[in-house]
Amino acid sequence: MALNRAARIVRVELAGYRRDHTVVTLFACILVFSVLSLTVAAIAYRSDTDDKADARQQAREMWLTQGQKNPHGAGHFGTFVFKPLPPLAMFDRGLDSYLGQRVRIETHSQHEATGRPVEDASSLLRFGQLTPGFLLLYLGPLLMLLLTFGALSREREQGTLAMLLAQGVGAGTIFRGKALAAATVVPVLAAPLAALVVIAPPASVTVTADLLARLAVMMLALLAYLSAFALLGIGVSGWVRSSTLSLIVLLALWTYAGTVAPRLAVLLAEGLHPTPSSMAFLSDYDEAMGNRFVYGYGGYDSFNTVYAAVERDLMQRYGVEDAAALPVNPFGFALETTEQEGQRAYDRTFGTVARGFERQNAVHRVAAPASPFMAVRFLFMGLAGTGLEEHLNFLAQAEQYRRRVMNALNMDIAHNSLDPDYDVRLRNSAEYLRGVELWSSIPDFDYVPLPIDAVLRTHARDLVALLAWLVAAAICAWTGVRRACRTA
Amino acid sequence: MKALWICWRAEWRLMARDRSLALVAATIALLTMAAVWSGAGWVRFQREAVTQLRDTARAQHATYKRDAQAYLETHDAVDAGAPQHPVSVYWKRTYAWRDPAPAAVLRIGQSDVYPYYSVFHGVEEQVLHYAAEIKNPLHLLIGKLDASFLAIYVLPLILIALVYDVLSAERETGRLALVQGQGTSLVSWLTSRLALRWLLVAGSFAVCLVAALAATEPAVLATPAVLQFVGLVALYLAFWGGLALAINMRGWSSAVNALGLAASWIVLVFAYPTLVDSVASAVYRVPSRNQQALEDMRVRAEVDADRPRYLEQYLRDRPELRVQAPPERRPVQVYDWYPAFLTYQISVDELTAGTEHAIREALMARERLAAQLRYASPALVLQGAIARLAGVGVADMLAFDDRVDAFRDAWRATVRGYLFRNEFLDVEDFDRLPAFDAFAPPPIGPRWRESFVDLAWLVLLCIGLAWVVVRPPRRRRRVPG
Repeated sequence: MALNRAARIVRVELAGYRRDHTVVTLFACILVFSVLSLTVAAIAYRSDTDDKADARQQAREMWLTQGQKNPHGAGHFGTFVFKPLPPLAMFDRGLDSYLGQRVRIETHSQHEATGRPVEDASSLLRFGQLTPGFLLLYLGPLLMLLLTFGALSREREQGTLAMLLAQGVGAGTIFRGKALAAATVVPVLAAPLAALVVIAPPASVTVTADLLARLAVMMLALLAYLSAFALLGIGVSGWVRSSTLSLIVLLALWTYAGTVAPRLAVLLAEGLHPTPSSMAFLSDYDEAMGNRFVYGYGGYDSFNTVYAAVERDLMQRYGVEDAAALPVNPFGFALETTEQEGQRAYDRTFGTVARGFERQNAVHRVAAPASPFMAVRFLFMGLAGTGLEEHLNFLAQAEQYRRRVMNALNMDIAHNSLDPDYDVRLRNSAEYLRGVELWSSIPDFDYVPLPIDAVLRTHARDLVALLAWLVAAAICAWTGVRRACRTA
Repeated sequence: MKALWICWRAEWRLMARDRSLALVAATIALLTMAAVWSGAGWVRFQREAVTQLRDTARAQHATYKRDAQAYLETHDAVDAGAPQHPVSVYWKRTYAWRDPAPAAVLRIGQSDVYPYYSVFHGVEEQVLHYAAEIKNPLHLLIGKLDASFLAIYVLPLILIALVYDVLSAERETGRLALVQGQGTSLVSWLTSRLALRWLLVAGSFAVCLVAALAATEPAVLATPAVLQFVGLVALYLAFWGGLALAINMRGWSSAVNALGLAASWIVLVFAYPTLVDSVASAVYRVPSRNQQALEDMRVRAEVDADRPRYLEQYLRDRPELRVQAPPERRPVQVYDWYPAFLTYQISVDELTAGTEHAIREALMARERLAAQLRYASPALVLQGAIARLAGVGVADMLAFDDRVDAFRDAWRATVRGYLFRNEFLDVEDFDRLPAFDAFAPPPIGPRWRESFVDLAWLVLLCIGLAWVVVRPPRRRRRVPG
């Protein structure tokens, strides 16, 4: 009986939604724009993927066809590695526009990722990007609030709530009916996400178990997120005395949660954990390198000092009195030594920056309960592969690749370039040349994205925050219904 | 006039008794202070970075001169490793910077995305590991709280919350008929209601803004920028007030009015700007930066493989560089490799200039298209105007890039002479090396003309809305009561 009554309430609510032209219009707009933006995003994804695939192929070809040269020269010639765009970036570009898309692989230097799309964007990018994620995460909650702001207050104003109660309908039945009615709208709004795999050009997207798992979690999170707003709307509608006031309160909450709270969190995070200036970073790096390269003199000949030390060490290790009797070339080892010194300096300085970002993001996670938007945004970026952890994973793999490449080149010089007649000032051993047999022995860079279990572990707190919001919204809705029933 | 004054006075008394308006004013005050503090914090950060840069440049210059003098006192000849050796000067770090505009506290804009200083030497165009400031990408995505954000996004919503039912509430409670029965002019009465609420929001914001600036960035108060900013914001809010009034005059319920205004806000502040951005990006596609990076590598390889030919070509056009310094001006160790290396760098720059130019053209074309389309949204008009005042638009940041390029070319041309002639510098020659001060971008001016256009457009929008409200009816219109 209670179930029948709840079902009838659901039917009446849905009929009310259909009659509300403003809500229907907004719903249709969000749906149409979501599908359109998804199509546009799929085209952009295809273009970006093709561009990077082409660039990767060209970079590899240039590496292999660089001709005969000394391996150290090949280290300076270098190459590029490109960060692939994950398929779910079509839904949520996340941080991708603000992150470098390629890393220069070169000896002596660890480069930061360059080619941030934001540098080639107009200033209007800061208003937001027309992606399905932006529409569903920003405007989806607004739609849910507009559907439910009058769920109880309107019934009270029109006197129908008193009639319902007089017929023996309980608060629980009303709660179930209102909540279910709003919940039926949610899957329809989330449909574009499910359509992602269908619309995306099959040639660019390989449907894997990992991708499907990510989609499933995103869908569930979106359902929870939008349902929380629907329940919040029902709750506020029960607590305040008029529909109009309910609408204003909910619009204020939506504005605060979506636009003001995140920026206040930025202010707090930067205040608590400020990042150094780029100039300060350079000073730190210089200090880590013993300030040898700050001036154009005095430091650049430090390689001679390193070389001499390496040579002495090798002579001791191999038990020879004359450097010419060494079975290896100290030059290769000296290069590797300076390379590792630079790596330690970079690990220290870049590591400081990465840890600073993680501390700042931790502040956002603590502040997430103040705004469900932040919790779900973190989660979506993580699942879409467009968050900070994925980027740091790419940088780490790119740097490991660079070290492997430089080690291979340096060790080739160390072990295979014995030339006792080399001029001490031309240690580059220009006569020692290698070619494609060495270049091709170094494999191409193959990026391995984070698996979904690692992503879920990283974002467990965001999942918990989202669930907490859902529970809090349900409590708000339940108490709102009870209050409305008492004051009907 | 008397009736208007009575309406104003009555409305003021009603508002003074409403404690929720005090809460509104307090909220605006808090948010404004937080926004100004945030903007001032960023400006202070930039100034400190630029100061450190200037101090480092000065200290390094002094160190070079001191060490060069000390070298002469302890060595008979200039050799490799001497500060005055042309190769040492070639590796000398050189600095360029851009001071934030006085009004930069009002809007952060693109200043957190583009570089505002540069460190280079003869070999590397950028010695800094991070070309732009080190910023958490999440913070770049979310954006910072500043006065511009408050003005564009939040203040209209606060005003909408105060005026969405300026007429409909009176009608729904039956007070409208009472007011009309007294013979009060509807327009006077509505105007007073609207104007006082507009004054509350705009006035609270302006007062708190000035107070917060006086405490954090008092220098900006001496410029016309704050006055222009407040004027633009006031007109922008007047637009929203007028829109609220126009919607109220349709005779809908308060809830529908609120929905309509919220929808207008979403369209004008969110949807339209993102649509314009998408259209501009689709119409003017920027050439692939990945392809540009690879082209750079390819050109480097080609020039590197034929350095003697490029060097000879270069010297053919500049025969004066063939002349070697007299023996007494030459260092002991001469690096013949460097002239070819410098020529290689210059040749690569020239051969890749076309792609860089195409990218810049596409970026500026996008900005121009966005500027042309901005008139349909007062939020875009305001955003563009504030970005210009604060000097943080894309055009301002690219203009700084041009200055740095010009400075680097001048510096390179000077050092080139010493490298090619194999001539070491005298101590006093260091003071003749180009310094960035001569190339620094001019201070951002008041930009009255551009601001006037934006102000005029906002005024026109308000007049248009006012006409919609008060236009003489084709047949006698009766406000539904």
